[in-house]
Amino acid sequence: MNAMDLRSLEGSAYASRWEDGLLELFAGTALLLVGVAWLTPMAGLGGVAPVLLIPFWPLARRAVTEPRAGYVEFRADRKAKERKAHMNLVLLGVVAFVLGVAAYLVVSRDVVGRDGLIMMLVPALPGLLLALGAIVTGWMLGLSRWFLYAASLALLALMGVYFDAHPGVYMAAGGALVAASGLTMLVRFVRSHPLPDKAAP
Amino acid sequence: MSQVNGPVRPSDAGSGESDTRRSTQAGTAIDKLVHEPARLLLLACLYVVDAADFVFLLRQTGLTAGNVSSHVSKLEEAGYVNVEKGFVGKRPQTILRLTEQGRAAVRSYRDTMNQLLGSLED
Repeated sequence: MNAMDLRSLEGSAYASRWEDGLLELFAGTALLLVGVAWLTPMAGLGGVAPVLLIPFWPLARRAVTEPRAGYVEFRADRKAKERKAHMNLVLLGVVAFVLGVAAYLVVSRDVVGRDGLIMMLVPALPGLLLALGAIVTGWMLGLSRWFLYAASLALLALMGVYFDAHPGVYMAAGGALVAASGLTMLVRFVRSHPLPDKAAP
Repeated sequence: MSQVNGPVRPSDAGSGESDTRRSTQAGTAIDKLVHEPARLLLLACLYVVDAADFVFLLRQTGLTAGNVSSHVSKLEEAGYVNVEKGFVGKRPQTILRLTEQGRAAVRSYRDTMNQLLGSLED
C-alpha cells in the first residue's frame, strides 16, 4: 500500500487479513465434507468434520499467513465489532436450526401438501441458509466476494431442486467451488508474499 | 532526535492578520519527526491498530526493510514507539506499539496540520 489513504487505513489493514484465502479454503472444505457425508450412510459425520477442521485454521495462519503478511492486533472497537459478528453468525446458526426443524415438521406432517411451492423449496433450504450465512459473513467482514459465493450457493441449491439432486450433491459442489477459490487465493498469496529476508529491525 | 513541539495554542480568530499569525505559529509547531512521509505512514499504520509486527508494517507501507528499520529506531528513541522482540517458534518477531506519547504526537500533528492548511484559500 503506497497511497496515503489514512481514512481507510484500518479497514484495508483488516481486509488484508483475509487475502490469504484460508477462510474460503476451510469453509469450503467443511461444506464439501458435510455434503459428501450426507451422501453416505454416516451423515452424522458431516457435523463433526467442520469442528475437526477448526483447530487447523489458527495453525495454518501461524505457519503460512503471519510470516508473510505479518502479525497485527486490532484496537478494542474492531475486536468488539468482530465479537458482534461472531455472535450474529451463532444467531444465524440458531435460526437455521429452527428453520430446519420447521422444514422437517412441514415435510413429515404433510402441512402444505406434496405439490406446494414450499415443498418444492424444502430440499433447497440447506443451500439457501448457507447462502444467507455467506451474505452475513461478507457483510460482517467487509468482503464483497462472499456475496458472489452466496449467489453461487443459492444458484446451486435451486439447480439441485430443478434437477432433483440430493442436497448433499449441491452442498459438496458449493463447498468445492468455495474451497477452489480459497486455494487459488492461497497460491496467489504465497507467490505475491514471499518470506521477507529480514524480519526484525 | 528532532525537536518535539507541544500543541499549538488557539489564537484569536477574526481578522486576516490573526489568521496569518495562527498559521505561522502552527507552521513552527510541526513535529518534524512525525512530518517525514515514511515515518508518518508508519505512525498512521500503528495509530489505527493496537500493535503490529515488523513484517506487517513492511507489507502495509510498501517501504523497504532497511527503511522501516531506521525509521522505527528513530521513533523508538523519541519514545513514540515501543519495540518488543521475541520469537514465534524459531522465527524472530518484532512487535511494535505506539506509546501514549506517540499517540499524542500523531493527534497533535493532525491538529497542527488542520490549523495550518485550514487557513489556505482555494
